Amino acid sequence: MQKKGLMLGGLAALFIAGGALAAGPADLNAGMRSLMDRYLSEAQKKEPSLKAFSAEEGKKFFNAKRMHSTAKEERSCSTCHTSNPLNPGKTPVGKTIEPMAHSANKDRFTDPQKVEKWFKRNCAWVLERECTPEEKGDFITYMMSN
Amino acid sequence: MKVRVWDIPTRLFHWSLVAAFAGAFFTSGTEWFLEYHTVFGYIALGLVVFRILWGFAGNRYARFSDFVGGWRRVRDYLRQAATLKPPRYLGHNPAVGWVVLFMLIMTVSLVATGIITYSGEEGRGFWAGLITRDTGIFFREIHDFLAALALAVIVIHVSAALFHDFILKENIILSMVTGTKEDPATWSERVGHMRPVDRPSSLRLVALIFAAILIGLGVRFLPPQERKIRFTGEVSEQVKVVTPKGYTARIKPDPKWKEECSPCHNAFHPTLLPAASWKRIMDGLNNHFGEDVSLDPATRREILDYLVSSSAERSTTEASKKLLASIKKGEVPLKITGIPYWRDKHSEISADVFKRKSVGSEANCLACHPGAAVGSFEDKDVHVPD
Ligand code: HEC
Ligand code: HEC
Ligand code: HEC
Repeated sequence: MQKKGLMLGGLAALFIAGGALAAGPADLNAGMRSLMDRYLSEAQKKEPSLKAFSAEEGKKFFNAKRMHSTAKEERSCSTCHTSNPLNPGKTPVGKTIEPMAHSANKDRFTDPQKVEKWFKRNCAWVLERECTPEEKGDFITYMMSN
Repeated sequence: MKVRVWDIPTRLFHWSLVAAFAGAFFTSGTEWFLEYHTVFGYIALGLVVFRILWGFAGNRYARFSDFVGGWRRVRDYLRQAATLKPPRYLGHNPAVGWVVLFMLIMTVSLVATGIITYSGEEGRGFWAGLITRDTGIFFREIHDFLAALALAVIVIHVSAALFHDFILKENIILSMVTGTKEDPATWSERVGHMRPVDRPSSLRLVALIFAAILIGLGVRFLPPQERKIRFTGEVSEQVKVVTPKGYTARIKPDPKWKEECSPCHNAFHPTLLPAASWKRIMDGLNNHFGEDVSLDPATRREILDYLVSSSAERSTTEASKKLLASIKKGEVPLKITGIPYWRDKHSEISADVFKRKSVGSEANCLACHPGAAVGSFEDKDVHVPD
């Protein structure tokens, strides 16, 4: 009995991991999926045990506050995008940002170049470094999940 | 004996139209006096509409029926004028009759094409928002042509008047001031032209009431005022500049500029900073007010070229001129909001207003200036949100 349950669970885990490995979140287009594949293989070089990205981790990353070394203010991704990805955000200058969640804005996460450009900018602004492939993968998975 | 020929409305009309034309002529060709130029145009239109009514209602010599005759009369008259012995007319002679009619039609066309140009190109005036920019540009060509034609007709008209005064010794220019003609040599002929009584008609009353209403409207609306721009469609989105050769031109907004320079703030209009400032900003994109906005070299070049082609030096707007004038020699500002003229104009707005949720910062021009995206910052359009 227990053995059978374990086996089923293992199969299910394999199936989910396999699905994520092959495609990333289902709604992504081909270009974005290959970007996600790249993130995953790069992340696995550092951490071979990593099987798939996690929306849960993405959410934590999105809301994590960090003190900026020169600006002396707490910054996070949610500073501009607000803590709810379904809502529109605002830049420090005052311009509205369309919602980040794919379900609220179909244009999001459709252009790998644009995504990379903004990761570069916004990670530097918040974290004063580049984001790791794992952080990026988790972030996108979170944005695709709500 | 003096004979009354030109009634007071006709004389007033004549010299007012002269003044309106002179005013329009001296305010043409430059953006600076455009508001005044249009005012002279509207005045001319009002005058001409009145004159057309007066052409049916005025006294005998003011009426079209008196001076607009057939081609044969014109031909005979011109033939005799060529021999310096034309018959004398108390009112308009057959030739000038047609010139008068032509000038009335020409003035109406000139003003109509002017209004279309103004509405299309500037997004201002009667039909602002209804006429596309391209239509405006097309009608400017017609407007320019009609203006040249008007000048030619005026030259002919003035030459003819001088001819009558100095060669034929008819004192006609002064008669348009005094309203009377005094010329013993032709006196008997004149009497033959006169009708014993000039019957006033009810149309005359209508024309005079109309004139009174026009004057009232004129006093109320004509002092130059910035009419509200309607920012619709493509109207005035393209930047108006003066090219290095001195021509005015329209520059299309660069799509890369729109894409790359508008996500964080609404793209600042190129006419708001001098070329040197744009160069400095585009050279420092890797640290752009704390942001890394690095672009690939081709995109950077394209955006810089656009910004320089429409920079404050090239711009025709008052805001550009004043911003530029206030920058100290040798300084290359990175911020529009740091330029003395900007600081001066916004000195009465408290810091709290800029921090409001609906505004965000000083750099969010669009929050208070609905025309910011097309480089328009007219006082009349300003609206500070709550
Ligand atoms: C200073 C304000 C700001 C902060 C903080 C910020 N962003 Fe953004 N982000 C923007 C703006 C502006 C855009 C462009 C919006 C647009 O194109 O409509 C954007 C777009 C993006 C995009 C592109 C999405 C797409 O496909 O259109 C990604 C990815 C992104 N941000 C990730 C992040 C991450 C990760 C963080 C936290 C490390 C973060 N952002 C923090 C302002 C910010
Ligand atoms: C990643 C976000 C971002 C992008 C993209 C961006 N800017 Fe900026 N820009 C800023 C910030 C932040 C400020 C500072 C605003 C403030 O001081 O409130 C600024 C300010 C400016 C100012 C000065 C505004 C003032 O206060 O007078 C100019 C001019 C300007 N940017 C031009 C550009 C141009 C040109 C581009 C395109 C090449 C561009 N920006 C793209 C973020 C951005
Ligand atoms: C909080 C609202 C607000 C913001 C934001 C704002 N302005 Fe203004 N601005 C005003 C007001 C109000 C006036 C009118 C001052 C007056 O009556 O003389 C004005 C006047 C001006 C004028 C002078 C217009 C004229 O015809 O005299 C210019 C130019 C101008 N602003 C440019 C800008 C630019 C460029 C920005 C963005 C960098 C900006 N403003 C941001 C409120 C604002």
